[in-house]
Amino acid sequence: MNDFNWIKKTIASCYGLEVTKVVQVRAVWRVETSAGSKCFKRVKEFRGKINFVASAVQYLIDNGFDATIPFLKTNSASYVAVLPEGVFYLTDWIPGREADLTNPEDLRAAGRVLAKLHKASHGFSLPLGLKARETWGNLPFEWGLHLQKLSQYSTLAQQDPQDSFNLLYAEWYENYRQRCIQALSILKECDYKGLVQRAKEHGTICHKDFTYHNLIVDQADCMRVIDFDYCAQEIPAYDLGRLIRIVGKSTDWQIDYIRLVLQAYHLESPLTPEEMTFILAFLHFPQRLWRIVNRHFSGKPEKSERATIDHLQNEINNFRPEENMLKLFTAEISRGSLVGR
Amino acid sequence: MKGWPLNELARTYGFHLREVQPCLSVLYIDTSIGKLAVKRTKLQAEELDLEFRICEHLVKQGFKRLARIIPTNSGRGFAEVGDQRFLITAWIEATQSNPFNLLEMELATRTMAQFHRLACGYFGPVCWQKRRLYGVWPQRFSYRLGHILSFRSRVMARGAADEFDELFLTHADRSIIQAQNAIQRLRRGAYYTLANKARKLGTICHHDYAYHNVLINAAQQVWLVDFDYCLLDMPLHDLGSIILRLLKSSNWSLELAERILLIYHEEKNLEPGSLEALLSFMEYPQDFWQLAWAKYAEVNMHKPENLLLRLRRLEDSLEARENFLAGFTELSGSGKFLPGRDSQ
Repeated sequence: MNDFNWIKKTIASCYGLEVTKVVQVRAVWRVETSAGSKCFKRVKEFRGKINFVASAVQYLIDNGFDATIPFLKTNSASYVAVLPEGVFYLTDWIPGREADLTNPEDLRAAGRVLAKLHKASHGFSLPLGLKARETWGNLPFEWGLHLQKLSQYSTLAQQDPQDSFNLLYAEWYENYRQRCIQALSILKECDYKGLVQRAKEHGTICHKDFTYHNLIVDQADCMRVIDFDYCAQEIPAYDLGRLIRIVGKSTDWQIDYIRLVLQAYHLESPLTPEEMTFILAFLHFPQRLWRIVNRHFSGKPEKSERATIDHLQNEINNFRPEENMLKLFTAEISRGSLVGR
Repeated sequence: MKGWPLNELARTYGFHLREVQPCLSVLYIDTSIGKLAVKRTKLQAEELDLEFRICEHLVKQGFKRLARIIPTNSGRGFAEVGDQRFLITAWIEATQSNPFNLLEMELATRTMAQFHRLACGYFGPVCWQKRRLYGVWPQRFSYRLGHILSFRSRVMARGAADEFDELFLTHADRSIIQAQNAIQRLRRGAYYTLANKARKLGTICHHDYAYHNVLINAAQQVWLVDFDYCLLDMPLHDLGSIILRLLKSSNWSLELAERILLIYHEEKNLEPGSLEALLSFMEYPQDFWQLAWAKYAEVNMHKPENLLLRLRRLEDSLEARENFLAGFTELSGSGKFLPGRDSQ
């Protein structure tokens, strides 16, 4: 399926384009065709989900969001090509570089583009015949469950303290438990239900994977968003929280960089105090630790070849600096100074 | 002074110049705010901000024997003139220590231990996390071992083309075994426990603790300069580096290493498992990796004859190094330096 001839044949028969060259880039193929460079991608999700993605992207574009690219239609006017080998889609290829989340200009652009994306998503409602992809309202349940699991894993870890992963996890578990509890209690404060209710009324879409490798700065210095494969109906602050978590990690938790993103977003689409508090809760939840520990104890293989202990060591090195940032963030929220009100 | 934008610097720092004199790589200036050293630096702004934060933190912790960084009028730790950056520190009236003078090296070691006693409590940001190394030695060592393995298979596939290739292939297998031993010993031994303690304490390393950064004055007081490469790691990182430096110039004398450890241990207790971690640090074929990296990854950046010369020199010392490592393995298993302080 990786081979050039297969891709050439498939794109010719499904899209009527002649392919001259194929290069694999990350998880996609860049194909040179008679109509310019295209991006050819295989999706893991079943067909209903990707149809949701295609219609969400189309909705954003129709609503004036010009920072992304539409799915190209097949000869049979479908957004996806369903083949025995899997489900595929084709878009234009945007030449450019990935965003650098330590670069202030890129951070401002990312905040601005995300706000525009959310604004353009207003009014989205599920097209007839499509299965819903909604995750709003799940967080208290999800975090509670994860906390429960983390606690079970810590008991397991204490039973076999010879193992270096267990030893380290057992030593730091209490710190992370506190984080979970804080996350849950801040979430209660912020009227999460109200945020979800309002998002449902507006009908908003979140990208859900809004990070550097999906942000392309094109040759005209415009930031474009690609890969909506995980998008869903969700509250806008979710995307922002997730982006800030990644920015925090890339800039070693320096609040000045985080502020740039928030301010850029706020200028385009004002953030409410509830949303700010939600983001604070979101940042408290130790998502990275959860993933590492859950993978370790549930026996799921890591994507990379590095040992799980190495991932844990790296993650725990984040704890104190992240904690410092959270304290500053909390103080600035209560002063209302984070987004310059 | 040619090439030094002294007028701009005087404005940025708010001083008047009285006298200027070049001194090694820095510039000595006498000013209205005191005697200063001006240094041109290639470091990034973030790195210089970090250096300033760390130095200020050390002073706050009570470590006074460092060349303190002078802040600009706007409170930043460096000045930017055009596309160049400058760092100004207080001038220290002292001379560089002599790496061949054992007494001075002992003094430097003692000062290192005193420095490490105070160099902790830093939990702030470092440059994009590249400088927070608690618990990451095994993964870094594995990463570099991967380079050696891939260079070896590449050279084997295409055949040795020059003398460097041949020497590299001759010694690659032994280096790979040493790297694997070092990594396994770290993963199984006390290293993770020591690293976690250091992480909780927030310990700081100078990371360039070489003779030229240790100044000694007439009263035998020791001053540390140049915190350009400071990072957050366990103190053993600095201790291992200084021992390795001294070993290389003393043909791997076990007695010298023991002596340095003893002096350090007198000032600052070596915790159980420290020697074992140090053994891995020293057994790891860092120099071999570095040369291979320079040859096969940094293509066309180095003169081939220099690389060959360095590899030959490395080869000449291999036997002494092996003997040393065998002796040190015995030492680390002997329980010496344990428990508590030997002196007192």
